[in-house]
Amino acid sequence: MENSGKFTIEAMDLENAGSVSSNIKKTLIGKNIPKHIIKRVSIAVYEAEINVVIHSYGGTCSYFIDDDKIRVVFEDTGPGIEDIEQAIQPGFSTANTQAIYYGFGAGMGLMNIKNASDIFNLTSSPKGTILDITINFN
Amino acid sequence: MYMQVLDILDKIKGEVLTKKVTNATFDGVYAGDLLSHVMAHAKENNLFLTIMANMNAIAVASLLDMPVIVFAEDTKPSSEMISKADDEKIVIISTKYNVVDVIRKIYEL
Ligand SMILES: Nc1ncnc2c1ncn2[C@@H]1O[C@H](COP(=O)(O)OP(=O)(O)O)[C@@H](O)[C@H]1O
Ligand SMILES: [Mg+2]
Repeated sequence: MENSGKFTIEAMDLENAGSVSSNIKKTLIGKNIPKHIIKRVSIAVYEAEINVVIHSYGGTCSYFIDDDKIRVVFEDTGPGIEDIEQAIQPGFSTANTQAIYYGFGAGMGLMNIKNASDIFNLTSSPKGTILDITINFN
Repeated sequence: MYMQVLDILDKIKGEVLTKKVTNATFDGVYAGDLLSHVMAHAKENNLFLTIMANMNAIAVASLLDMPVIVFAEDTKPSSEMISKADDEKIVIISTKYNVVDVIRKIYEL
């Protein structure tokens, strides 16, 4: 099983959304990581993947697995988040009608990611957003 | 408390659209359509009850290890969704009842 990997995430590819999180989940199952940890990783990675799909022009996801943690970094090419504090507030969403039609846009994603992560770093500019999270295995 | 999928099928007049069902079980029901709420609150082995018939329902059920999805109010999953669910060993059921009636009938309230 791989200890690192990188995926491309296409903007507004709503039907295939979830393939990155599914892939990382399967990798962790192969490494016998405890179930409750895999659940936290799945929640965080899924929400982050969806955010790149529905809010950005597209980007990448890279992951790095150590003995005691997984680090996952999402980078996209814009348009960025204007006010990060506001974006993290539960219920705040700028999701478009198509995303909402697919069940997204509850405005809970960033808070779900923050709650699931041990380290949560979100930086953004009009050139793109970088979300860098780490989840410990113990 | 675990329940057998076969035991609720008649009660909810459910049609099984995937292959596997014979001994599928579930433990409790999570009902919802907003996927971030499902991700945050549904539990492993829950039956996932929704009207959100698109691919993301399968993705979420798979990520959270939910073994059964019931699509209420005659919402119909696509054939792609059904084959994806078969791959993930998730049972898909369609019913004409709405979410409240499905819960009533499962628990005989
Ligand atoms: N990668 C991103 N690029 C641009 N904006 C983003 C990104 N991720 C999140 N946002 C902004 O933050 C808001 C809140 O995100 P989130 O909490 O995941 O809720 P939701 O995705 O349901 O809208 C989004 O509606 C969007 O305005
Ligand atoms: Mg989101």
